[in-house]
Amino acid sequence: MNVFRRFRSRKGLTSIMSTLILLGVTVFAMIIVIGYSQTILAHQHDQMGERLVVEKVFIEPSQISLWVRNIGHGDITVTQALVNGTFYDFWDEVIVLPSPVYNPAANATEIVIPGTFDFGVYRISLFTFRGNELGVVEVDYS
Amino acid sequence: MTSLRRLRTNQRGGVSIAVALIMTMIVVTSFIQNVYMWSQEVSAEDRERLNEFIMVELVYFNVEDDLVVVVKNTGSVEARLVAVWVEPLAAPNATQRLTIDVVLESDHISDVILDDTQLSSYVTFTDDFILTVFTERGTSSTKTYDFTMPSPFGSSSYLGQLGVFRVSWFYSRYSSAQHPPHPTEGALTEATTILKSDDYVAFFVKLKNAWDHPVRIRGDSFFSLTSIAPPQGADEPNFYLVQDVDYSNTSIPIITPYNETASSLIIYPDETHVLIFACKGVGDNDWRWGGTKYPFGTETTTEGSGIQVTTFFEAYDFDLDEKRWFPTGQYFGQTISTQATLLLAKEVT
Repeated sequence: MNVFRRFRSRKGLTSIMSTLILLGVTVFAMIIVIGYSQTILAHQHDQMGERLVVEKVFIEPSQISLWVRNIGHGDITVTQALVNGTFYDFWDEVIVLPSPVYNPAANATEIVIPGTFDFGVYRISLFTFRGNELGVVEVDYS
Repeated sequence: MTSLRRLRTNQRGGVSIAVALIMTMIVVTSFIQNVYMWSQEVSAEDRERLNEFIMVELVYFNVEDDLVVVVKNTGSVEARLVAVWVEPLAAPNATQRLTIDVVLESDHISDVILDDTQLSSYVTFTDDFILTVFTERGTSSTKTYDFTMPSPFGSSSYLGQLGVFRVSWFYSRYSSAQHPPHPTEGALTEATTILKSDDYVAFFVKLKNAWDHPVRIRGDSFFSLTSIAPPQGADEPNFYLVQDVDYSNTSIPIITPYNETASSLIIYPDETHVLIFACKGVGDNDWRWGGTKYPFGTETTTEGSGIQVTTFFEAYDFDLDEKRWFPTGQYFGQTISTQATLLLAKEVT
């Protein structure tokens, strides 16, 4: 009975409740911190691991077609192309998926840059959503 | 402010701050460590990529009309070949990307065979095209297949002035009654010294056809020890081609003579073959270096090396109508020398 009486004590209840509340706040804060850091880490991993190889370039008067393969870690979202100093935006983002280990050649993705292209030497590169410049190639269109 | 003062003055408050700081440090440290480890992993992959080199050495069509691409890994890391682009010069729109899966160790050569059913109608024996091989890491090598190039004998730019054959001296060696393991049955891993006590010596020379046409080896091809001059009046120091040498008979190993026919010993492009030189004359089974028949019987001193292989061969060409290789009746020769092996001549007893 003394125990129940002690629980009824206002002083005792405040101590337990404050401990529980502090514990809850701490766990919640940790979950937020760990979750946030994991998100940042994943972002860092993807940003640092972006690699793209341009396997083939076809240039026609009305477009440049690049066949690319993601050889890095994580998806790559291509947002812009830079052709001889001129930026070309992709209205529809091009997402290049990494190749699976069991079939590393499976995913060669075509990226088409529409425009007007005359004969000459073209320096082409691609910019990703994360801000990396990848797949720099020089092609002589003659 | 009162709370902060309490926290500062209260012992439990100090402990709380310390625990919070430690926890924060652990989280920050693990974060930095994770990023650092990841950057190391990505850097290691980039380094591997920088050390990866492949080279398309040869492109040709075999007798089944399949396209054979000979690729060498010239880098220091293992390479996995994953894709081939074939771009016909006459029809760039018919460019194909074919997937392959060939793992190539460093300094190794492999054939990538593209079945003719996979290829477009613009990629045949008589077409010109550009071929590019890609690795999993994105490294590539390109070679142009030019039908007009390899047609006339010797005009192939691939061969240059180096000739048809390459000899791998490292994988060539000798054998004798005293050192009988048959070199062709195991790995030819030794370049060795011939001891004075060695009798019944045969030379095993690993030869590769680096041309894009097959060739047939003639029986009068021979092996010479050029730096050891035979005594006055003695035989010339040539060892002729034999079919095989059986060292299981330990007293006198048995030579199977090289029986030259129209179809014997044809070496196809990029194939290697171990030629055995042991006998005194063409098509002979008489030991050049065995029993009392030492070519250098009066030599008593140690001589430096000087060995030379001379191959005579018949060139083959491709019959476009019948789609097969045929012997041209044209004969050529090539001599390859080295200074790699030390020879100790037999002492006169």
